[in-house]
Amino acid sequence: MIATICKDFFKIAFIVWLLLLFMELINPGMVQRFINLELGLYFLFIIYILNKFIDR
Amino acid sequence: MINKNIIIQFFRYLWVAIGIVIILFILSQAIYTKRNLEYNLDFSKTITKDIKSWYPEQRLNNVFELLAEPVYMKIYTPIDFERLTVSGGIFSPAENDIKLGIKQNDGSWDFQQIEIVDDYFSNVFDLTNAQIKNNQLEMILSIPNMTSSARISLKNNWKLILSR
Repeated sequence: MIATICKDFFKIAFIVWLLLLFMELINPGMVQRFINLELGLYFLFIIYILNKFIDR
Repeated sequence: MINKNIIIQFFRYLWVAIGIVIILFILSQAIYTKRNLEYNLDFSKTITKDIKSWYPEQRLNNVFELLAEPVYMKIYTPIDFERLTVSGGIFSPAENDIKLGIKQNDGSWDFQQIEIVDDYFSNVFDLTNAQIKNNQLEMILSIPNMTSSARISLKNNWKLILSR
């Protein structure tokens, strides 16, 4: 159950991150003023790796 | 006993809701419909979400006294504005040639001489040809004839008004 919840979290966080990246590309500064997209990407990497461990 | 699927569904909807809230918040902050936008500057905070001022930081001490020139500032503009009004206080004991400028599309600076009356000034800039890079205007404060003994300090009461 936890593995599924974590997987869902990763999928949705990744989609949100892509949408935010798209918004930032269209209107520079719009997202970066509030959210650091680079840190967001590292966060996604960590969640992805954690998911792999939970899956085992 | 609570069904596992219900818990999974609950968290799935929770993540989606959080994502939607984040995106809606960002969108709401990017939409600006008013005619004017006012920034009350606080030089003690070098970087805020709207203003990056003044840099390089080494050219200003902690009581906002200028140690060297020029210094720069970046101003976030959510939409295109026509004018920028800059007002505030500058303490300059001697007559100094103090200029403010806005970066233009061709890379030059639209300089204006600051007229200080009672340690206060107000200048209006036309933003028609101003360079807006990453939705930011760049402003320069220059004192070409500044000497090392000159004690020019900025009062922490500057106000920027963007209007259209």
